[in-house]
Amino acid sequence: MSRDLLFEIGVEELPSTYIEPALEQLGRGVRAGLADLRLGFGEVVTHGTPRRLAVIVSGVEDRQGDFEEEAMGPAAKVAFDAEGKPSKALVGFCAGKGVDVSAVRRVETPKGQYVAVTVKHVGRAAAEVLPALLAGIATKLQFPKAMRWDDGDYRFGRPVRWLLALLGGDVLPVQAFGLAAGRTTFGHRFLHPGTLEIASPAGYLAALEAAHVIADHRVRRAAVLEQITKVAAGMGGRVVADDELVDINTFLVEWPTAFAGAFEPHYLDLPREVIVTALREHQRFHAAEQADGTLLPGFVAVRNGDARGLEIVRRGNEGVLVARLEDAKFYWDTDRRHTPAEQVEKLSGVVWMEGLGSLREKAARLESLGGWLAERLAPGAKASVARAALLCKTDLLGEMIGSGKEYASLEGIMGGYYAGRAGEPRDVCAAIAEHYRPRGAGDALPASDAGSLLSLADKLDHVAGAFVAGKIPSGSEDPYGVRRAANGAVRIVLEQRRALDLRAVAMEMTRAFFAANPELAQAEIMRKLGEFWRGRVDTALDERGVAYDTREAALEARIELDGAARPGWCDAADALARAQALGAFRGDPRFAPLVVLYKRVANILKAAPEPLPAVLDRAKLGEPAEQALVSALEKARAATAPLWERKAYAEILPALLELEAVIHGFFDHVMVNVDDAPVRLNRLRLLADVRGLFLRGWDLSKVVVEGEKA
Amino acid sequence: MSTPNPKDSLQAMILALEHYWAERGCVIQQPYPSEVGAGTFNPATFLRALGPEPWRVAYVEPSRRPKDGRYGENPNRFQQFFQYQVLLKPAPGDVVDAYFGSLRALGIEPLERDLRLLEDDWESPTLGAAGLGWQVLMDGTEISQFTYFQQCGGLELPIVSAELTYGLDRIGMMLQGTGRVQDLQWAPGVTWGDLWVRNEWEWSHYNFEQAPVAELFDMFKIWEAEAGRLLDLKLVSPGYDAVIKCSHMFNLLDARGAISVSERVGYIGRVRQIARKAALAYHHLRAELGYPLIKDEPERERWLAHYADAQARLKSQAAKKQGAAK
Repeated sequence: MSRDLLFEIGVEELPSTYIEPALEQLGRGVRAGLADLRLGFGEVVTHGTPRRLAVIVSGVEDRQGDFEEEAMGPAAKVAFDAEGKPSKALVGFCAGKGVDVSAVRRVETPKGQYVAVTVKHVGRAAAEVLPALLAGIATKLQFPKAMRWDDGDYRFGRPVRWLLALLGGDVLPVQAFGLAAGRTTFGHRFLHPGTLEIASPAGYLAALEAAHVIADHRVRRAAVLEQITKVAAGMGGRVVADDELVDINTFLVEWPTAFAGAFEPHYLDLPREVIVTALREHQRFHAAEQADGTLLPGFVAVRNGDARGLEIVRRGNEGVLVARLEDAKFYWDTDRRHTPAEQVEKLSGVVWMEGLGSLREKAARLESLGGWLAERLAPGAKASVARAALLCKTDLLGEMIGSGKEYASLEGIMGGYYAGRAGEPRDVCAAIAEHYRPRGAGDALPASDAGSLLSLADKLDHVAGAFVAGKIPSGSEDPYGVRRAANGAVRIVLEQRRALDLRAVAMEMTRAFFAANPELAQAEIMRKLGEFWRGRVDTALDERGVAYDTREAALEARIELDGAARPGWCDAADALARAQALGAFRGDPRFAPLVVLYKRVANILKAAPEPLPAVLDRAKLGEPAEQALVSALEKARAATAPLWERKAYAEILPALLELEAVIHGFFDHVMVNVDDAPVRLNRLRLLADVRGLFLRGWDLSKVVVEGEKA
Repeated sequence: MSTPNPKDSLQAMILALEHYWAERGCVIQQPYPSEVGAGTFNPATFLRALGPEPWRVAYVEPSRRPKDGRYGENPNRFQQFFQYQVLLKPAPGDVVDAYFGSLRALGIEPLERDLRLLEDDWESPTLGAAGLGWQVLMDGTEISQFTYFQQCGGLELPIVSAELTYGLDRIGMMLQGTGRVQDLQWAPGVTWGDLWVRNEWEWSHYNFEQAPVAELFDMFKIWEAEAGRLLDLKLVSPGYDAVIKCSHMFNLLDARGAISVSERVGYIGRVRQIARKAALAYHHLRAELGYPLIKDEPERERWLAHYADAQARLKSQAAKKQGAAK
């Protein structure tokens, strides 16, 4: 026998972003809890609105399965005294398991004789065990911010006001938040005042719909989308795509009704982003555009209610919007009274980061760093980067970014517009507009070279500055957004395949800070900065599906960048390419033996205490196996030289496989650690040269192969 | 005489709200006779929200925001605005419906409007007060703030109050359908403009141009010290009054642009410190008075015992600390 289960937590209006994560926890908790209780069940479906979090489980078994547990007790010599009478330990064990002492038997184990008992668990009725499960799940739901109410100790996103719990047609006596569950719920706050009785889980959604609540958020979202699309079509256009805003509106209402509003066309002189932001941030309005992408002088709003009084609602909303657009227009007009170039010196008055000088100083650093990056990565963009670097922070001085909270997210974008109006070259404007990208994990990268380089300079300077100022992220704490900045920089480097030496960058970025403040503990800061960047590259490779030991092998390679020896992580894009080549090659059956052999080489070298000669002395190589290894090594070097040049890592690894047989031969026939020091050191030198060839791409000693421990 | 229609005048709105909340057991109090930035500063909210004593109060609060003055010219911004403040402690289970009921009393029919509870976490850094709740939007305009107090004067609240704050001027403008506050009918035949335009001009002039910076800094220090002194003497009301005055000095200095961004945090912290001291003094005082607002005797005993326990725990902790220090 099985019945459907319904559990609804009735709550005062939850913040729209709290609902889906809470439903996710609710569904997960119910699945795991039912499994723990050994109750079979069918499908688990959650439903959420601002006022309710609900879960419906189909086919919950009426009774837990019976089962037998084999329980081990104390050792036999502890369980019984000298006369063979049960000890206190045994009596306690039996009481704990709910069995009689006579039920125990002796069992032989590798550790000696123990007592054991078979405990029979008789399944309890679902109706008996479910209330505690549901109460436990409900009270453990986590929210970004939880609150208290009444004088209770419970916490929730907003006050919980009712509980509904049904197993089939029966109420489950769930107790939580000082409430007892019943079969009563509430419909729409205004469209259906008063209570609503639910007969059974199967009738829940329909009963609520009759009370003007679309409880299934998937259905409600589809309704919102359909309605706003239709309303926009009625305005002669389409809704500007914004999935997140559709979600927000879905989770702000229980009964959506979309409607159109209008504003004076002259506001369309404002930049598109400003209008969209004015509509979205406070009012949650969708912008509408024509087929060619130009905005329409109107909006689509979603109301929590039906069509009654819609004319008043429309007029009210239009009125508020006019006030917001007027503010925006005032900011826009005021900000354009001075060109960005005229504003540069005023940046001296704004502190960038405590202890790290003003925005004017930051602009100067960006100018120099941008130039330095351009010389290495895109020489043609140098002039644009430098100009954009100088101007890119001036929009922070303006009214739009400075005084209106809702427009702060348009930093950079507004700077691009102001520069454009002031007649700055197009490249410069684009670079300014793009230089905060990517703003987060899902955001697009800058499209232009100048934009990418300026964004890199801005982010790298942010990271270096934070480390210099001691604002180093730790654990989950990152109040200055240092990790986000670093992740953005790594994304640009990886996805645009820009060969950048992160250590050289760190030195370049900190130079100005160190020059300004010689007191700083430079070596310590550089060490921490190095660790941090290595960690960011490691995380980025991890996010791209590279296994842990493959990452280590690629990051710990010894590469050469612009003539300098560097650890493998310093060039993130290259490290990713090497890691991916290694990852693909790991399926080859010849790979594991090669790794084992490489490790043997590495271990011998690790154990060698003396410094090795700088170069190999070929005259000292007497054994044929030595000579074979030297010539194979030279052949491999010659064969892979063009491949390293082209970074054709996928081809290098098979080429290096050729060495395996000769290394084997070497170990079989040559004794490395002989007493004759010059011969010993020369042989070690030869092995070091072999390792060196691999190390240009990978430290294979980091790789874990089957049959060995890490 | 017939009941005046709240849609006709702001004073009729006030009368309707007084009537509505008085019927629901609120003490109808009066504005605090000193400059406050919001109804929360009124001791009827800030102090009464502390501790376990039940309390229901409603009052109009003329609130000063010196920085928001626009010489009486702006249709939406002014340095003195009128809040209607309700504190319900503890917040009853139907408090949201009770709030919407009060809008009906103002002649606002929810079915014909778009009324929304939009998440808003409220915080007053000067008062060390924080709460969770909503801003209430009517057809897109914020008309109220609805907050469940969690903390006041830096103290966790044993009983959570609901604070409902109505923006009377805004609601009045919406009910009367006027886009300019100056045209708002205050009483039959008398507009907001008649009453306040000249006042706004004078105060804007004072706040932005005439307020004496050096003297205000001095007064800030004087009231700050005075708050400390009076609270040490267990004179909680005069002590808290000094906190309010100190906070107002800060607001005036801020409007004059006399406090830099980096100094701001420091000044706010200093006000918060004395606000906290006032909260703590009130917390002890009410227990010493025996929580007179708790009328249920066993309940009163329970909370007094709770207080005594907490004090004993603090004492033994302090003693342990001292022992460890030696």
